[in-house]
Amino acid sequence: MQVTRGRLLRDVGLIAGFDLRESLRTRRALVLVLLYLLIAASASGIYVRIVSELQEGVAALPDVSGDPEAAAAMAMVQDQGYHLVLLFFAGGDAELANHLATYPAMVLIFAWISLAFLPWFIALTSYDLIAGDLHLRTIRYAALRTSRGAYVLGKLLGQAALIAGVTGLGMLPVVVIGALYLPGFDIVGTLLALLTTWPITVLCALGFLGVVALASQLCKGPGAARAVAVGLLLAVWIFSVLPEPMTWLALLSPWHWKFGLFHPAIGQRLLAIGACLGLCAGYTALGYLRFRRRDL
Amino acid sequence: MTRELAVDLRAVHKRFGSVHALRGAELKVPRGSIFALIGPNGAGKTTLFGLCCGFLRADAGTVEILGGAPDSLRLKGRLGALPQDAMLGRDITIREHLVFLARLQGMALAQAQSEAMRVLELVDLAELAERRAGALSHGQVKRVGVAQAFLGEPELILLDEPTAGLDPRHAHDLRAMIRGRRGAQTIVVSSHNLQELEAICDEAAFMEKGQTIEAGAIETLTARDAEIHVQLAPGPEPIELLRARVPALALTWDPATRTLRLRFQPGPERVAEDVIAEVLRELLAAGARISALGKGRSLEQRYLDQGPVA
Repeated sequence: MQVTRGRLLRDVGLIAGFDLRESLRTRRALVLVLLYLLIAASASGIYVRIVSELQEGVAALPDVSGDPEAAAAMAMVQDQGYHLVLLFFAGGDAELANHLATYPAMVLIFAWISLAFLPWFIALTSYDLIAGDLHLRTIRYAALRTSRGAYVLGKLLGQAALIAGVTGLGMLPVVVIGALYLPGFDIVGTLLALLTTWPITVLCALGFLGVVALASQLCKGPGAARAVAVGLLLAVWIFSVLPEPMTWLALLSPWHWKFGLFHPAIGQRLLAIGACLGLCAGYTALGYLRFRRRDL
Repeated sequence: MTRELAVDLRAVHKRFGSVHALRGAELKVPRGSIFALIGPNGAGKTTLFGLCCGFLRADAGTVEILGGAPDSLRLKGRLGALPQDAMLGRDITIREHLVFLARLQGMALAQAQSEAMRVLELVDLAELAERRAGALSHGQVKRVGVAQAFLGEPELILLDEPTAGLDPRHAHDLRAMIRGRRGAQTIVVSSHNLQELEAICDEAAFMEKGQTIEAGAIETLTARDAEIHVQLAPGPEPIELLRARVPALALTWDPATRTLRLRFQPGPERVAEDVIAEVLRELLAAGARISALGKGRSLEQRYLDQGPVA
């Protein structure tokens, strides 16, 4: 039993490594990197623009530096406005909103935008995770030598590693653009905050990757897999915004859990981590029920 | 005496939607043999290979490979195959592909690397080891496919049309390589080139419309021990004389090809060589001129003689 498990893990590692290497040599990784860098650069650019606009607005206001009370009132208004925005994004959770306020705003904007786009990037780059190999019958070379379960897990892990790498690279434009265009930009603080949001982004991405892995195992052709992946992602997004009495369906959506990953309460955070990992495993396993019995 | 079987398929059925690809197919491949699977396009050969490799699941019947179900973990490193039309990742070098597959078979990195180079040398591709699979010609890709089937010298190797698309020299080399493994490994080959199969195989099975219609040793199928043919050059045709002088032979004469076909019951007292000597003596005495002589009939002729299955 232990020998089998050891062999399975070895196979999973080998397949993941091979898949990652193959992705890095093809346009898949390049496309994902370029898209993600574009998003990171855009998010940073948006932030820089907002800051510039605000600075211009503040400059146009009457000078209150000589009036401490007026200056304090203005700062309070600005803080409250920012807090209201955070409260809105935190779904009314004041504790979470307060915690989000501890992140540099630029990091939050980047995390927010990247989490909004990432599911669709994953759908566009990982849809052929299994379906592509089925279509070209490449899978037959590996299927002779390992189990189908190890194959799926290996491919999933390979794509997860790719996403982790790409989202890690995405932090670079944020730091570079911030340093270039924002006076007094805190490079170290921003970098540290980005490093704390990185695993959050990856964990959330795993939930979406599970949905895409389900689509890829259901279909034999890459075209169909891409369409089904986008369709399923749309479906789970709809799950996350359904009204009563169907709100329970939101539990099946990675979108529902993404803010839990930022939550300061460790219990909430662990729950969200478990949910994202569980959704990844669950959706992948659902696809595997079909894949394990299908003709290759 | 029961022979140990490498492949044992019993009453296997497989459907793809409305297409009944295998209809109770039977196949028994003895261990250590070089076995030919013969049949027209659509006969079910590739489906049968797919079942043996575990790529496809039988709808009914029993599939036993090396003494058990075609389970990839049980057969890891014991079964090699050249699947038809399977592609390699275009952007990975062929050496990397082979090292990956060898490692999946359980080899350590160093062993996998040397094994990859060994099998590439077998198919004369060692010089292109660092070339991306996407930059190879069709024939070279086929040879890489053959190479990966021989990784780790598995007990059983299934080759689905291995010489299709190969140039004559590499096809010849591959035949020689397969022939050289007789007794050491079990190799099942499907091909439309029956001359090729006849030259390298010990046994064969004919398939048609999803069924195995006949199987046996090549010697038996081609009646090498029970039939001779003689082609006469233009000149005397002493057919009736021969019929009268050697009545134990069943004789047919095809005037179009000027070929005499003589069938006999082989036994200790009557082997093909004795019959050849007797027939030649009579023909030469009657003034006939011999232009060709052979034992049995070709596998191709045997296949064509069968006619279509109803």
